[in-house]
Amino acid sequence: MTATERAPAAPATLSARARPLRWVAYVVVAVALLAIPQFASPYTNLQLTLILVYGVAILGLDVLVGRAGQVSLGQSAFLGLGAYAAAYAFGHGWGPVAALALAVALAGVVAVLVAIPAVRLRGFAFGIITLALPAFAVPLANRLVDLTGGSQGVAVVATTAPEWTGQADDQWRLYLVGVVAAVVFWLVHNLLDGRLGRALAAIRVNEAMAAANGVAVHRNKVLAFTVAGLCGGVAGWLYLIAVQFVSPAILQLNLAVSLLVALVVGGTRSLLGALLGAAFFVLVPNVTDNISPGRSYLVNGICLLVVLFFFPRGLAGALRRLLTWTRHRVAR
Amino acid sequence: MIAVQQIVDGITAGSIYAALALALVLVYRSTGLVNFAQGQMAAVSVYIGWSLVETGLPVWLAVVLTLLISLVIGALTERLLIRRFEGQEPLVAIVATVAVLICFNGLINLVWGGSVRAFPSLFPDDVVSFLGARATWGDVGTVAVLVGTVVILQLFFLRTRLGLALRTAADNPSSARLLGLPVGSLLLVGWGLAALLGGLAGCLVAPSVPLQPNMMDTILVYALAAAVLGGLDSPLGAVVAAWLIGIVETVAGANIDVIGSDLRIAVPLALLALILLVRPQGLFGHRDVERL
Amino acid sequence: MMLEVAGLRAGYGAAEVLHGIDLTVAEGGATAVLGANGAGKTTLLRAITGGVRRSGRIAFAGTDITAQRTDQIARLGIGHVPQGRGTLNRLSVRDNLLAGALLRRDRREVKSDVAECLQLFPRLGERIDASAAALSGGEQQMLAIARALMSRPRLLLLDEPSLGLAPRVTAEVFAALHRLRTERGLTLLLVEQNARIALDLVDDAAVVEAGRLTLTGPAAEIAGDDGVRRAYLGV
Repeated sequence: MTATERAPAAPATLSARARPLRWVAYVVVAVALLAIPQFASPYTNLQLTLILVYGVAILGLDVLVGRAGQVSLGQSAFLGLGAYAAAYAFGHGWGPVAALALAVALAGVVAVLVAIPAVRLRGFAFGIITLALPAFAVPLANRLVDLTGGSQGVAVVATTAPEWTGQADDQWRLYLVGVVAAVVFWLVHNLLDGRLGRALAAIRVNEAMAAANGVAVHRNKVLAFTVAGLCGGVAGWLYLIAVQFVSPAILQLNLAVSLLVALVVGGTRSLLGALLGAAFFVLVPNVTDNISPGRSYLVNGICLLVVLFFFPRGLAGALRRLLTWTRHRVAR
Repeated sequence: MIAVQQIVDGITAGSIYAALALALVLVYRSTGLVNFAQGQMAAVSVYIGWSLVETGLPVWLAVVLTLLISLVIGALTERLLIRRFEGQEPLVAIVATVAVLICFNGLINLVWGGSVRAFPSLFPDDVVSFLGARATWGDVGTVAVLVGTVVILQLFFLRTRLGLALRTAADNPSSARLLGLPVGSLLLVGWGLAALLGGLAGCLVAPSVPLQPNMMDTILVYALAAAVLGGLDSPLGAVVAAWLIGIVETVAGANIDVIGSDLRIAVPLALLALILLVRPQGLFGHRDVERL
Repeated sequence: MMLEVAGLRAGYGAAEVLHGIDLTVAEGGATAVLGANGAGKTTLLRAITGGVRRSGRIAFAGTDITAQRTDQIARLGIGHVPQGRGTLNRLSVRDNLLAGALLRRDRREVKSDVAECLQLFPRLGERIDASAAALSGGEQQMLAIARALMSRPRLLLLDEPSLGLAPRVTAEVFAALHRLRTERGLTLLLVEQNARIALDLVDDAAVVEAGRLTLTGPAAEIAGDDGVRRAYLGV
């Protein structure tokens, strides 16, 4: 994944020999990823698209929860805000870029306005306050019928595959969502690689100590909250492109909690973890539904407990340990 | 005009939030954890109570048995599921309680099915009036049971050896171990008592709502708001905050047209936000002296 | 022997702090372990009461306690006044004392023991209903010692009782420890940086450096050792 998460460096001679190999591996993986939509069914492509959509939302949540240590139960509100903004824009004939701009701008503004007072709180009080976001957003969406279509939601045609691509809509959407998600992941990775990442780590470990060491605690927490909100806004736009429909269900507390759960299941403070968590969130209910339709909720909960029991550092943490382990075995 | 009636209704509703909030505070004090499954565990208790009533037991006996079973379920949940996460990153522990919530919800669907059922009244249906307000015996009983519970809890924590042991383990687990206290078993007792209190909240609210697997979800949000508003580690604070929330919610819901039924759940959260911005440590909480 | 430690290795996670410690404390005796910050003093006490990963052999009054849990070890009769005092800060002074006696069944004697503790530390009596958080550092140290005494330990472990206290308060605390030794014959194991006042209290002493005991012997001899005089007594 990222440079910081790579396992301890192998001996120099080995890594020098391994470097071209690694690049070959990257290219193979990239080609494989790009090829998948060509062979997968439209349903599979939609599932993959949704994983990327929620991956972006979870990535944003990770900045606030995983990096800064501030538990939030409000991420669904930003996802929904982005989706509704995009629906409005597309519904009024705006282009995709303008729609994205509106989604991001709205989510960002709301995030800043909420964050400024909220970051004064610590620990669980902060988490419970963020719970107010979905609590307000759902009734609001139901009431603003002209903008949101009320409880029925809005369906729009966001984008269709241009003729020259020769792609079906599901393939086109997956590529589009994939490219935007990749850009967001790259941006967030770069953002966290520097001072912000260090400041958030300091805040997570000990706020008072961070402040004593000259970290602007409130400002950085507002920043983390805003990044989370912006990612939520982008994810909302992506969601609308993927699903072409939005209703108040997307704003609900349930989804906010599910995203938090997915973050921990995937593994906090990890780009890969955000994607793995999203995959767990999207795929496991399908699987459990197939195993035993009437008990899918119970089986889902048990799956969750099993992951937490055996991999408290999430799927990404487990994967990392597996890689280190195999590398040691191979080296020996 | 704010009628006495609305205040009475608010206190009744607040008493139910208070019982669940007390459960949250109990768990928070003993494990430093907010148990998001507390409401779902209470719902399990209600369904067990319903089944006991169906067997023909008198309601009150069924409730007492339910509370004892809840105690065992709470203790087992701590020992078998939550123990693994204690001392780990709090975020993982919180998500574990969410997983427990999902499991218990699934369990209710599995055992009792999703169909709506009704729970019998615990109190006579007659109406009493005072100061121009009318209340059912159910309302009076709910408040009385809550007040009685608080008194018993205070006596238990302040006057008994087990209460002192629980306070010791909650205050400083490593010191408690050095004093020879079996901290793990005390956590188990704390979770058991919390589940009992949650079950009580469930049985108090059950007669006036339809039984559904997620019947306690909204009440949990109110209870969370009350617990945080009360300062999270103060039982008395949680009760006062719960009453305040109940009253404000009822009065605002009845007098401010914009609120309506769908925005009512946002009222306690807005109140919480307003108060916490002035007093970040809650109404009765200790301001933690953070050490470097 | 009240306490026998042989070949004790202990540490946190993968890091080993103690690399083989041998130490004994005789019944009714008192031993001080001197050393600088980070030498392993606190780890030694924590290893004895089961607070850290450990191997080797630790025997208390003939019973092997190396594999026992902290609360089991405490119930056998070892009192441990931890570093940072470990007072129950949200509880009152009285409740702190009673918490120390939670595992005793003789309620009437608990009452007289509280009185005895207050006689030993009169300052606590003046603040009996205050919360432990409101006490000064010295009062908290006295409370921590008194609380440990309430369990009627056969061996008392003390982790730097002088830490952070003014010289006058330190003297007050150590005067009480003197009384406990002479009047009750309490067995003590003390770790301290303040060598002068510690050596004054004990019969035997040891010096720990980087996780190993570099010197052991009677207190008077240790006090006369040139290295100790330079490093710990500032002579």
